[in-house]
Amino acid sequence: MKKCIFKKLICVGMSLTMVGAALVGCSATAEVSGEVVEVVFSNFHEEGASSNMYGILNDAVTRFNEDFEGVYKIVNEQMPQETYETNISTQAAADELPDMFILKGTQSKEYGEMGMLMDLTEPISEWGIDEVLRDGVLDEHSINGSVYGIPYKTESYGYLFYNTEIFAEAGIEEFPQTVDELIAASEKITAAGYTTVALGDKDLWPADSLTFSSFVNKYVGNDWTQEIVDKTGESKFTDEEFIAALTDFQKLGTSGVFNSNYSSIDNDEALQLYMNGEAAIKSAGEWENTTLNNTAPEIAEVTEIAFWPGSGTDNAIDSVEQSSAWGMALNSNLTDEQKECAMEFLTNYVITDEWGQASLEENNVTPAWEVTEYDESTLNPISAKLIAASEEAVGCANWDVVLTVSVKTVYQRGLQELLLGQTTPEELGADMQEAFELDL
Amino acid sequence: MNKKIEIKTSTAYKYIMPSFIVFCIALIMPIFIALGISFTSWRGGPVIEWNGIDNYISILKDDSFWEAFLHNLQFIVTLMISQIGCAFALALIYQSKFIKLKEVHRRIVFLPAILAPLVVGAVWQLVYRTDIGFIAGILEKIGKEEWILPWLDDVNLVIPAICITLTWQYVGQYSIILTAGMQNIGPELSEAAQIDGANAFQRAMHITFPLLKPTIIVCSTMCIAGCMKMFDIIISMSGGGPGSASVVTAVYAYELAFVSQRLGYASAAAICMVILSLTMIIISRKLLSGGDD
Repeated sequence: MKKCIFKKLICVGMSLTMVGAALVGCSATAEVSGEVVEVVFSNFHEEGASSNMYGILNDAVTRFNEDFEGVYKIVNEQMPQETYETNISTQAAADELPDMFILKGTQSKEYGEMGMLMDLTEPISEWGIDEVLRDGVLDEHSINGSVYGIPYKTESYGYLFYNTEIFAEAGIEEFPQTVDELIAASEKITAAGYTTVALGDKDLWPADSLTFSSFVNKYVGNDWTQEIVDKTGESKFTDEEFIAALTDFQKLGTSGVFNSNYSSIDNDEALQLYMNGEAAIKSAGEWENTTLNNTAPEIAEVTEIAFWPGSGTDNAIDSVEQSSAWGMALNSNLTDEQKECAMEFLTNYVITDEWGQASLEENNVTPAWEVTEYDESTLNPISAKLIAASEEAVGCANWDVVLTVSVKTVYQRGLQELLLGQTTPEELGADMQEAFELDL
Repeated sequence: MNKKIEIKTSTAYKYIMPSFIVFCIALIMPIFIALGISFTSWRGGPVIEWNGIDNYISILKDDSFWEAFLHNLQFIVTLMISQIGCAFALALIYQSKFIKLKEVHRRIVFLPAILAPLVVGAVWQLVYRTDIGFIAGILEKIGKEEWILPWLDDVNLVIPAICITLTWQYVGQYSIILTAGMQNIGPELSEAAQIDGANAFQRAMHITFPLLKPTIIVCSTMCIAGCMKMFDIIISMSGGGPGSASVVTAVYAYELAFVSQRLGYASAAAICMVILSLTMIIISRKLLSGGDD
């Protein structure tokens, strides 16, 4: 009998353990501990991440928590960038977004329109943030006159690193100015045993954000793109100039300008190809300057900066994306005290000369506001070359940030299909237009 | 006597209840929630708008969804042949008197099945690399560089390449199931056929295979269900690419939900996946059982 009761107890115990285990993890939210107002700040600036903002952000959070001990507390919640966007999307679906978090312009507009984000138009004016930020940086995070994200950096995307030694070895004296010249140069580079342009598009954004966004601007120009962003209906993805851009981009893919495994490697692996001296060109983002400079100084030494070649017409101007990409957003459900805490942190600990100076000197990342004093000698040589080369180029939009999600979904996979010759420029243009019209 | 059975039955229900509750919360409830969401245009957040069967009508016209389903079908056909076929051959070998250390063989072959698909995907992605990959290395060593192909970057090769990985991973699992099935078949029939002059191949095809039908039906059901919910191995090996050459319905529904944030439409796609999966299983059972099922 005793044995039977013992068995029953074990069974009940095991069943409860199982139910408990299944329900574990269903609740993990930040609480207001005592009188302290707590704000959870989710971001991907973890230690060792390629964007390298960990130190600056951690320092700001530590100083804030020390200065407001017993009053406010920022809980710095960091996760890897690869899973960050999915995490935020999942939390958005459940209407359980973090208190404060970083978000791409596309999402901040989308979530803002859904009422999930706080409209920051008044707070940024009240706290004087709009007076400090550079002109136009709020545009990527604004829709219908409302601001939903505060950018903290502006970076260049879609310019080219090229290895002058490989170019010399292949017998190329000048960087190609047109797509046809690039294809001709590619034949020589391939014959010399190198990959021409390193691309790692497994995650789908590099062919867009680091490549096509600046490539296309030589064909369509900023006014055309702005009309797409504003959804005026004047510009269409079926327009002749856009189809011409897709056609030339496809020519690059089918001519073997990119490495053959671009769809199964990621951007870090593509950068590795360039840093190992296996690829002659890499379409880059500004944070990669530091990585290149620190990891492969011998390659950095022979690296020069160029811009994507175009059709060769007179109005084809060298273009480089200028984008804040990520901005800091606040959950619309914050209490007044939490909002006060978040705005205090953003105004006096993030958008400051101290942060800007550290961002420039330690990471060579340009903040979204003017910094008057910083040590220019800390700028790595690649960044200095980029600044010099960019003087002659026009800034353009990063499509990864300004297009709607519906268009992006069609377009990012579509670019891979285009490079493979699986779809035609006209078909991709028509598909993008169809997705675009869904959002009108 | 009846009272005793009644008490035993009620005790059994009590023991089952906790697991049943967890099962309902974790599996049944989400299906009904997804079904509810599939009739809305929800994109996340507090606002949910009812849109009737619009999502289902759109899915019927959605080429990308059907293209993804076609990829599922390609996986199902290839893996039914490769996984179950190889497993059947392995199970026959394990039955042979000449094989020593059968347990060791079985355990080694079963080992990949216990590995996480993400780990398997990451390892096999390296195996297929054209620059530092294991296959490329061997081909280089034997002087057959021209055979090195962009396995995961070619629209025609990506699905067969992933199928090889999945066959490697699950052949052991199916061979264990089939071996168990074979052990239930008495040796008399096979011995009688042997006396009548049937060779090993004839005995396998005309005696073992027909008698194993119920086990093969179980294996094919598992294979179809596995192929229809396939997600992690695709994400880790090809990300659905190149282009959309290896996008299957689960990856498509995931992208709709977490990239496009079209949660209502993604739920409708997921419900369609369940319906298609059940249809495939019913059809396969009918075909394999010759209509007796």
